Amino acid sequence: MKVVEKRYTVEDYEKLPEGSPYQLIEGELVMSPASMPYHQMVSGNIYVMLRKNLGGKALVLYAPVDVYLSEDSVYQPDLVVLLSDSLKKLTHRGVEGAPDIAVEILSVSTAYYDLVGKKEAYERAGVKEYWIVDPLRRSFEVYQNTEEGFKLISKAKVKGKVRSGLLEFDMELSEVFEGVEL
Amino acid sequence: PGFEHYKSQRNILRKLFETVLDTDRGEVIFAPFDLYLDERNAYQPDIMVLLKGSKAKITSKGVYGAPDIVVEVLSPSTAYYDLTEKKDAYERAGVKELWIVDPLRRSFEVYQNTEKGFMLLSKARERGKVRSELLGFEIELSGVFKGVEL
Repeated sequence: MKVVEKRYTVEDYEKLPEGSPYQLIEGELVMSPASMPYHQMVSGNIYVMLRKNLGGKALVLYAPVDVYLSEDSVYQPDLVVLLSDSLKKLTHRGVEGAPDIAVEILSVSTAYYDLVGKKEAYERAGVKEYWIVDPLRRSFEVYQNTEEGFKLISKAKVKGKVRSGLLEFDMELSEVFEGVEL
Repeated sequence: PGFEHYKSQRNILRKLFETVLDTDRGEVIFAPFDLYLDERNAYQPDIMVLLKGSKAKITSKGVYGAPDIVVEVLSPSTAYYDLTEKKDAYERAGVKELWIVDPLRRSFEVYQNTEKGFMLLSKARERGKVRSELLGFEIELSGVFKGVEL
C-alpha cells in the first residue's frame, strides 16, 4: 500500500487516468493492489447469492465502481447494493452518495481502512448496512446503521449463517466461502 | 512503525509508569517483549500491564498467559492483525482490557472483556478522554497524542 502525502479532493481524483487503482480516502490517495484470488472468489460468491435472492428488486455492482461519498472520499467498495429507491444515485461516473449496502472483503494490506476510516465514512454518509467479510478468518459481520451508528446485528465465523435485516435473508458461510481453503 | 506510533506509545507509557509502576500496582512492559498466549500465539504487544495478583507469569523469556491490559498502537500495515486475529486471541485468553490507539486518526478505544467478549467501554477521537475501568482513571487524548501532528 502506498500512501501519497497531500490532501486530495474529488477534483484531483477525477484527473487520474481511467482505471487507476486508487481510492480517495479522507483526502488520501490510497493505492489498492490487485486483489488475491480468494478475495475475488468470495466477491463472486456473494454477488451470485445476491443476484439469486434479489432478482430484479435491487442493483448489485462489484468493484471497481466509484462511490462518491464526500468532497474528500471516493471509495471503491467490493460490492454495493442499491435498492430501487436509490437507483437515482447512479450516474455515468458511479454512485453519488451512500449505497444501501456496502460490502468490503478484507485483505491484510487494506483492512486498516476498511475497519476504521471507511467504516466511519460509510456510517456518516448513511450506508444502511455494512458487511465486513474476512476470507482469512472466514468471518462475516453485518453492521446496521442506527441512531447510535453502526451496530453489529449478525456475525458468524467458519460456519453458520449471517442475516441481512435490510434484505431479509440469511447467507450460509459455506456458500460465501465456497472454494476458499483455510 | 512511524514516529507517530513511537510518540503515542511513549506518551501512554509515561502515564502508565506514573499510575501503575510508581504506585507499585503492577508491572508495565513494552515492545519488544514476547507474550506467549497459548501454543499457537506468541505476540509482541506494544504495551502490556500486569497488575499485582495477575495469573500471567513473567519470566526472562517473556510473559506467559493473559496480561490484564494490552495496548496496541495501530499502523496501516499491521492493523489487520491487531483488529482481527490478535483481538480474538486476546479475548479468548482473557485479557481484561484491550486499548486500541490510532495515531493517524487520533482515536483511542477501550474494550472490556465481558461474558459476550470485548465490548467497547470508552472511545474518543481527536479530543476528550477515555476511561479505563480496570485502572480507575481517565486518559486525556491531548496527552496521548502530544507531539503527533495530523
